[in-house]
Amino acid sequence: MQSRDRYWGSPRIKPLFLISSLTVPTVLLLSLCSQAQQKASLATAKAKPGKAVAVKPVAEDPETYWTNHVEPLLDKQCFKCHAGVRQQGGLDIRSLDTILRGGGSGPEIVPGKPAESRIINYISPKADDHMPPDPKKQLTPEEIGILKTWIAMLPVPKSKLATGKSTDNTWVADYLADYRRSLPKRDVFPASAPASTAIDWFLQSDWKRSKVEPAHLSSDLVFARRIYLDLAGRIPSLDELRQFVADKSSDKRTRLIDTLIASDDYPKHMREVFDTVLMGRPAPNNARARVDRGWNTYLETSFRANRPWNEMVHDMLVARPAEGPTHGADWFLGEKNNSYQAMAEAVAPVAFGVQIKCAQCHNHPLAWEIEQRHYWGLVAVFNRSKNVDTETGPGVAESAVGGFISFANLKKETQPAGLVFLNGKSVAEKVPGANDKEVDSPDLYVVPPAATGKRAHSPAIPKFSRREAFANAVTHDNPQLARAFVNRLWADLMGRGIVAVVDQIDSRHHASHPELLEWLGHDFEQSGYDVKRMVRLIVSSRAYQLDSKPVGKTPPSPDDFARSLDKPLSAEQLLHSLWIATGTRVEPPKATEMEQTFCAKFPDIMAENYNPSLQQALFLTNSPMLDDLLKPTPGSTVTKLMALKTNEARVRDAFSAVLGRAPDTSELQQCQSMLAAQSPEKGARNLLWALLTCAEFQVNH
Amino acid sequence: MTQDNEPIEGMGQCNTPDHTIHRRKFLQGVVGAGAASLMSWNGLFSMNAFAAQAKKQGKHCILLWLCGAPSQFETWDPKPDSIYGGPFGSIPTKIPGVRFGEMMAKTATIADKLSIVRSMKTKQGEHFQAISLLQRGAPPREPFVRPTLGSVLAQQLGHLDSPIPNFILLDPCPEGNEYKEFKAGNWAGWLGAQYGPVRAGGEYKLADVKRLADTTTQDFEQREALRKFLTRKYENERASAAASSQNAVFNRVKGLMSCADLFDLDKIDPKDRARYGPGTFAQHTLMARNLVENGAPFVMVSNGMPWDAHVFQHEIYQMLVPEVDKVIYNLITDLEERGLLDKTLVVMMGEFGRTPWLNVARGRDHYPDAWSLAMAGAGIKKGVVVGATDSDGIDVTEKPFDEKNLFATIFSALDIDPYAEYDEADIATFYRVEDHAAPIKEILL
Amino acid sequence: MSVLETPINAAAADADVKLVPGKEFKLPTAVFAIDAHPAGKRLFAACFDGSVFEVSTETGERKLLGKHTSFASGVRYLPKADRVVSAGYDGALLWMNPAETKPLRTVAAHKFWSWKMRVSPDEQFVGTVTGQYAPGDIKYTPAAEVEPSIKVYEAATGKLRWSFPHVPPTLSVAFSPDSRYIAAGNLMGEVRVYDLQTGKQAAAWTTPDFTCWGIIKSHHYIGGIYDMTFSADGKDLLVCGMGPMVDPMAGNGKQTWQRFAWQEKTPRKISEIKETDAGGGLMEVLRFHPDQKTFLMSGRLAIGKWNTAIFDAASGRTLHTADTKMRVTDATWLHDGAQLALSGMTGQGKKTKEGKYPEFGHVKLYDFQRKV
Repeated sequence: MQSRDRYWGSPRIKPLFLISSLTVPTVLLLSLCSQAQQKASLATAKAKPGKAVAVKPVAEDPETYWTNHVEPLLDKQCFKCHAGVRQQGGLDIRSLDTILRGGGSGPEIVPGKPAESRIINYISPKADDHMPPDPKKQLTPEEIGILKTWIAMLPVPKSKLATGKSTDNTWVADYLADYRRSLPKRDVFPASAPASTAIDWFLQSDWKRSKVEPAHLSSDLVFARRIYLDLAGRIPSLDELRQFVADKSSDKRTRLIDTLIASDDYPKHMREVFDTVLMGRPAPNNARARVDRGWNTYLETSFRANRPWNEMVHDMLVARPAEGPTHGADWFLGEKNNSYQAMAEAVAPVAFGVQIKCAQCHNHPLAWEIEQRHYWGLVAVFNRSKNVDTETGPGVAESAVGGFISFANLKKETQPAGLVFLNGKSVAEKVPGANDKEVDSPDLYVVPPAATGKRAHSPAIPKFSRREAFANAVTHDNPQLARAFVNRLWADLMGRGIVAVVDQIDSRHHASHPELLEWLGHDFEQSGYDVKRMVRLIVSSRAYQLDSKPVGKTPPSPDDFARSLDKPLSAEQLLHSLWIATGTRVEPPKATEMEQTFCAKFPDIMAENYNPSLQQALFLTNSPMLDDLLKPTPGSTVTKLMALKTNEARVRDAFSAVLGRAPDTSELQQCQSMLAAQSPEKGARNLLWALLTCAEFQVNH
Repeated sequence: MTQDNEPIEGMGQCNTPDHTIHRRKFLQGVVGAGAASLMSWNGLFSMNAFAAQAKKQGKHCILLWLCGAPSQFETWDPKPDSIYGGPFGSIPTKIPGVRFGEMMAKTATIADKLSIVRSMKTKQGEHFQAISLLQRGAPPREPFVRPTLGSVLAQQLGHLDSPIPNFILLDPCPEGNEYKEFKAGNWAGWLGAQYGPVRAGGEYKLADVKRLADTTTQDFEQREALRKFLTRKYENERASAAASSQNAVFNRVKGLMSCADLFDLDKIDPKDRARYGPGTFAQHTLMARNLVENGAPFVMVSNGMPWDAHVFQHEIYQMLVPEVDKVIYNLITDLEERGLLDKTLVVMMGEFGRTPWLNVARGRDHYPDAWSLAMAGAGIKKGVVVGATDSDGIDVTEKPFDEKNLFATIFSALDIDPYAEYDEADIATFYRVEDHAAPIKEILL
Repeated sequence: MSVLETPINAAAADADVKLVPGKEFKLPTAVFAIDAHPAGKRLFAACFDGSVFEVSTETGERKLLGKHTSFASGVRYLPKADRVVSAGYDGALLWMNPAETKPLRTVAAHKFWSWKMRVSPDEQFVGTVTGQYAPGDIKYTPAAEVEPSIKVYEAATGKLRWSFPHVPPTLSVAFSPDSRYIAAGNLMGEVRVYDLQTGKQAAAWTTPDFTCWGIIKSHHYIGGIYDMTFSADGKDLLVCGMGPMVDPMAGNGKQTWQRFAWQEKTPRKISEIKETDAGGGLMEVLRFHPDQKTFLMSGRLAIGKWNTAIFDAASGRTLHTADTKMRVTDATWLHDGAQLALSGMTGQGKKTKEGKYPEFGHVKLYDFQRKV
């Protein structure tokens, strides 16, 4: 079974609120906090002598207090037996929600009343059902104090049923709704303000609070390179660059954005990104089929026509054969070749923004809201599917019967998989009894399957379709769909997701700017899932257009978005930019071969950790593929450089062609001294090589 | 570059002209020798550090990572009289009174060169978490990423200027479920990407290691110098971690190219290749021996996760165990013959053990409650068995050890202070081994 | 972790034939092989702890006839001689008189395990197959045998009659109805048929559908042909096992049988299990019903709803499926096919607090009912 390694860094938790006024008990408690507890707080880093470390103040709201103090404590002491994999006594202790749901005996706390709370009872030294059970691992008085503090912070429930003795938890749902509403909203974007100002508004509020100084606005050269890479998947040619710089109009950036979005490069680039995001890099056997089965074309057509994202997702989930604009969408399921678990695992990040892999054998070990039944419910959505070859072509048929599965947890307790989903929705269907036999018949279908031994005319479509029902449940009235997309797009354009682990918008991964994410998701949904609009919104913001050089001594933390972040080029961006910078034209089949090689060598898109590998460095150093681009073919950059008269001219033109800027004095000196010792051809090739492999070219900044 | 009259740490005031001259000569000697400077620059100015370096110098570690988790019943801790023992019997070994599983016939003849721990008791029974636990030596503490054993040893035993990579992972299996996910993760943690592994295996030759015909040495050196200059400039101007990791990686290219042949099995004596056995695991262990012979500080060898026999336990182990038996026997005897065994720590383990009871599919499942591992070489006693399990192999009856004890042992065996604090910036307080966990004294020299 | 899943378009179980559960007996350890006394009142069971038992079908009472020093993997009763022969992972063949409790004869047949043992229909021969998987090349293709993979002994005397080569591990063996031929199948899906009169190889072919190379986790081969049986006229050979798995540790390759016209110049696959009828799991038992109209395949349920199925011999159609709630290792027909006995195992289980080892061997009896 797979699960996220908790070693992978999660973004530094930012408290939701500044301290405006600490309540006295909190202050006392903080000072009583043991050394160990302070170290456990994720808000502090080790202070080194002479090194200034920002200590974010602890907030007074229960959510932040939970994240910074309670959760780490429970993680250390209690999660082993009361979390995703094991729930002793049925109790999952990972969140207020699950604590109030309780184990067998009802809510484990009475919010606002620590003395009446069962949990406090268990952990007290003299209790009967004493927790934790290991006598060597007891909670210290400080730790018990933390739990008491947190419980005391919670608003007292209105319901009379909420007592320490009660097993009734019917009041909990309403209480939680009220509680969430009661949490003070920090950043509320004024409804009357234009949407185009929202992103900057949120970020600037945050910078003011955290006293972060944002970088300057990027220059035209920097902006042009960045926007071409982000929207067209390549660097601008020298002509395009010069044209942009020469343009004197005040709205030139906006017009460039519009031009690029309207260009043919945009849908191609979006396809390159989203093909990998949705389907991963293809195994060598599968690469051809993505083209042949119309998948690539589907993506490009949809992005070009700006098909609403929720409709695209709907296309992919129902996977019906089609001519016209949705042809090829069925390959999303088709490529998985009847592996229903693979389908479920691929769909979860798109529909809900989470990874569901870890909930196959037990509830998700970390994120309490992801349960085993969600995993198997999602499998059940797809397990009536079958790849078929029909007279009208291949497709993914769907049966009207079958697919009733059960799943077992680690204790071998089985339960049937119902169609329940992570967004709280479910689909009702009639489940046959233990002795009933389902009888398949053509009148259960819109398009019936073929008779035995015959070939169907087209893939079967049942009247009641699980795929259709699910697609409707997640493409309408499902905020998670919008949030998942927006977070991805943000990561792609800004260099880092608002939730940094892009496909894990779950309770264990916190957003750096939760209100911004919510606003963007809402806006996206309201706009009708308008992709181009959201792209525009992001790249038109000032935040996107900031320079990458930090202002001030310490660079801002990446999750401040106070300067443009490094975005290592994808394989496609790199290759297309190499062709432009080296002035080479490569035709198929060589071009396809190069694309395949580059995609294999540089497979990552939106990787969580940028780990340039030795193999990549070796490739750039010794591969004949790159070397060929540096040969003096007619019209190539190398040839042009060789034809110039002086080394200085060569350096200047090389910098223009590759980096789109002029060299500074030290660069000029360094490069010229290398050229002086080499022949014109060798000099040109080596100079170009160094420019093409240096960080400034390899990264979008 | 420090001033000539700066005092050397630990030596008091040593700024006499004589001393300065001697020091400079010494440095020239070392640097001029062309051998990639074996000591860090700062280390040269610290006699303590110098001694420490000299001690650690030339130490190696080979980790035979039996991923998926090998069954202790069929290897180090057989229970032939138990209903859980399985169809394979046991055999006597060179250590009087100690028996191994019957498929470990060759290793049994060199048991007196090994130390066996039969009482490993850890708390993680899921692959991904357990691989992490046994690779890093401690449970996770978000958001910090503890470096893996290889990364720590790469830092302690290796040198960044060395041509041969400090951390080599030989694994021909690109897939591997949980192990694949682990491999894609962050190995070096807070030590930094330069201590991550160089991965090879499968094709036996690293790709793109040969310089192109028309790229001369001058081309190579000069353009790389320029690339480095430009990248460092970018790094400084923008405080760019991406640029920094790029330079770290390119720094190693030349070194790796110069030792490309070490990753080419065709360059190894075919007789050796036949002796180790034809399978990829055997061939990679031979490659590891070769790499260590040529100075590699840490080589880890794995082969996917074949040991995870939930189905057909015995039907698979009939092949796996004799293979690893041959591999261990040949590796240890080869190292000894070459005078390397005293300087090389060999660790043979997986991430947990396997259940005594067979499941319905005729397999053994995960079992962290009582399992075995073996070590040999640098700092390790010869012919010692420590810890025991009950007659059915269900519980540890004597001296349970966990991953912290294991790591304390590994570090101690290699003369690395187990309890040193990491002084990397921006991390909380961490020690190489937490909680001052004791090493397994019984097997340490 | 088990998932019970209905394959799409599952063939509705035909009411033509049915297995109706009858008595069940537990044994201390897994039962790996079973055979019946013709009168149908006694069974012979080969067990995990090496024991060979006689078991009463009425009461389940056991009598220990002999013991191997490792798993007992095969047992057969010879009616004419009134003898029991068993084989084990100790490589030994034991001859027993069921009336007595000490072995009559022990033959050290193999250095490695006896994977399967069969007796020729004329009771002349005992055939046993062996072989240890060792890596032969970089991809772990099996190395050549270090001892003969197939051995044929005279049932009456225990003398070795034939040794035949194969590529180890050779997992399955069968005699033709006329006792003329012996067939054996291995890990790689290769079948060899030898002529017992001349000692010559009569046929050899490979089917790729039972073997898997562990791409996902383990770069070696797994699977193979686990059982085989000739048709009544001897012209066809049926083999069973499991289709390739993506994850070799799941054991969930397709439940598969294939039928070959082996006497043709190039042995040809005539039929195989219908795609939509097959769930996932290793099939270890293939047995024709005495009336030859149907055959049984059985083994483990990894995916789907059944681990035991009855097929129409002529068409290969699935007539009946059942989940016997245990992994089935062997089967035998009693009372001319009116009853079926299945041997098998469930998980071995952990020793209880009181120090008891849970019983995990099973023999289950079924009535075979056919609608007229």
